[in-house]
Amino acid sequence: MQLSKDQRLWIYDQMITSRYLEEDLIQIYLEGKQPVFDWAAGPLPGEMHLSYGQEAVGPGLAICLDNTKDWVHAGHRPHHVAIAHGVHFNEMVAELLGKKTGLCKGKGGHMHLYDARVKFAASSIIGEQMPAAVGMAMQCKMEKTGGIAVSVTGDGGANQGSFHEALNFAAIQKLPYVAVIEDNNWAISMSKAESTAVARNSDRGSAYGIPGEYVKGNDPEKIMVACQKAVDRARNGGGPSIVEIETYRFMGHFFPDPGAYIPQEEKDSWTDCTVEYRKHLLEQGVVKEAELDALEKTVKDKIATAVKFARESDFSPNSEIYTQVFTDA
Amino acid sequence: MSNSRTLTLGRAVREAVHHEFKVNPKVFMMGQDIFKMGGVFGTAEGLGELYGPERVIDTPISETAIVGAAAGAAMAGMRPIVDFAYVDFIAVCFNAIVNYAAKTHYMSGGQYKMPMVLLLSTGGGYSNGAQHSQSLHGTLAHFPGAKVVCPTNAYDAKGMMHTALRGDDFVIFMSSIATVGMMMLGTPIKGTLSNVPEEPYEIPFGVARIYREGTDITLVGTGVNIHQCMEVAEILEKEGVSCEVIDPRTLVPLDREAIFKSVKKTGRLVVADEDYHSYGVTGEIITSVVEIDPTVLKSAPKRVACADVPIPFARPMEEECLPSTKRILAAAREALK
Amino acid sequence: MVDVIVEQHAWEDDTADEAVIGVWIYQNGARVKKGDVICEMMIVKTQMDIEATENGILEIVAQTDALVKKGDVICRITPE
Repeated sequence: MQLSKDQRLWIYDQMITSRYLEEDLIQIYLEGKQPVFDWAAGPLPGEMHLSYGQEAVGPGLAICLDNTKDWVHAGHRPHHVAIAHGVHFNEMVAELLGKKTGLCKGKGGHMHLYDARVKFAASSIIGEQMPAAVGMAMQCKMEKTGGIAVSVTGDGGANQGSFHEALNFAAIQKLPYVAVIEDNNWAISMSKAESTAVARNSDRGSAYGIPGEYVKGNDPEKIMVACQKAVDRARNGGGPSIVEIETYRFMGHFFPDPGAYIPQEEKDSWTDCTVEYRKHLLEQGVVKEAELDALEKTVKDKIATAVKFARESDFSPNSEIYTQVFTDA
Repeated sequence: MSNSRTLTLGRAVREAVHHEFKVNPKVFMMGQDIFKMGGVFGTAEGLGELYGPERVIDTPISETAIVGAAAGAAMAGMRPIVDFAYVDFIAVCFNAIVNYAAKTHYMSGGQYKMPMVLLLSTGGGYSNGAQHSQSLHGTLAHFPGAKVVCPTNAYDAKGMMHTALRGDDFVIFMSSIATVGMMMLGTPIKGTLSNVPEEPYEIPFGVARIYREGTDITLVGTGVNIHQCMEVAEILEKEGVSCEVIDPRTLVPLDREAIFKSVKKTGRLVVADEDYHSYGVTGEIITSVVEIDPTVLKSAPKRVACADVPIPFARPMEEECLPSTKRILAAAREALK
Repeated sequence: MVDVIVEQHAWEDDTADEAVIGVWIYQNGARVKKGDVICEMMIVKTQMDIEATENGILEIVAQTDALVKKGDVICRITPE
């Protein structure tokens, strides 16, 4: 797939949108939580699982998809995936702050982000995304929409029973499904080597008679190539596949986990996909420095607007608590 | 002479399912042994031949994937029925039911609907042991986000299945095996048989059925136990006691008003439910009355439920554990003192 | 008038010679059509649907809970 300049700038845009947003989120998160740390305090309460370092996966996957017909189901670390798939940005940030203008009126929050307009869902029980995405793939097949469904799970989630069941079922039914595994090597404090009996989850595809590909380097364009193969296979009736993507989790499991359990040599080996891709674009002569500066400023403004919108919005009234338990009450 | 038809609860449910399959292409069924075998409790009988394996989907033994996929398909606009067989197996895929299917509509701020029916068979009384004899009404009714319905006769069952399949909510449809009329447990219980119209109809959720009006004591029952309550009512009638017998029909939403109104009239309450005694439906129903006005009661309310033990295999032991006409009668006599 | 006898329906289990009438779906005097399921019967552990063999008026012979053997008449249908 030959990428145009615009597409490459789009990729960079998605990555830095996630990155700059999270840099702001870190500041907002700490408001009210210092000097005494209290998860419940401040404008951004709860646990916060930052995508910081993993941004490449968002656009690498999303560029292969069409959000008018393709479903994406992410997990508890969803920001980069949501942004790239086209989730409404201001409403997403408002949802993080729990406001009534948020995607879910403040009922979901950071770990439960949904945007039905672009066929996006994210929920927090590890591995549950896989069967749900398989079900979305069933709808695509049954109603012949031409769409596919993708789940995004971590290396830790790959050891859930739902991984096995979802892939086995999708394989038997030959569903238009792609299982993306983000391998950041850590499930909280457990390294992949400690948790997983095989080196690569992509190799587990053979247990279901389906292909699996491992992508090294955290490079959005390499990710795109692998995802495109899996997406095409799914769309053309070839059934499911696994795409496992090496990436790096800079900010611990949840903020502010310092990741003390990660060996320093490993941390030293990490590359920053936003820095590397920027360098790559300049070296390849795709863009000029000034264009990148301008894009970066635009993105920063977009984030400032979204954050302002979120801060200035009200919470839903408490009467909202009792609505939408069911559709008729 | 009347052309009315007397159906078993199982056949009535199938009739509703067949109709909705016919008129709505988004309805499909998935579960174990449904396509070739029609389901272990006959819930899918005849569907496979008519609609093929694409709409009547035999699945591997993968409850987490089955329920999770049904939920995903429902979010995407389909109307799946999961034929789940034994309620005991909810423990295998508990997350998919209570955290995923039940909560997604709410967590998404209403963006995604969950028009899915989880069809469960409940109850013991035939020596199937602790892991295949439970009722678990309370467990499922406890989690917000699922409507929990448990019809006890054919007429209610058909109407409630139509309501379930036409609505946009996650409905857990629980059928007590002893009431289905499958003849694995002998011939059907007469009280479960009803005249059932051929054409479709809906029964709203949250409205109890008064099986029998009375003035001296209120007997509330679910599943097979409502029919035992009716036997108790017959016995007590001969002793000059008038029983009011109520079937809530749905646990979520629960018609607390009808039950309170009845107890206000009679002053005495016995609740019979085959789920475990503690932390369950019987306690919920009693509290629903007491928290409005405890002075309506002339005697202590009684609950007749499954003993708080894993259900034993041997028939005499199991019989003692589960509610029965005998136990309900004894409880009623206590409440009438 | 046509006798509907048990033998006309396949007995899956040859070791069983008795069945029990579980439910009459239609009542005495009902008008039934050929192919309507009119009765549920149980042979050993297998539930069997009995269909009307003709269009006509139903007369029940073997009542609910009755035990029937191969060759027994379970009902009669008077064609109209």
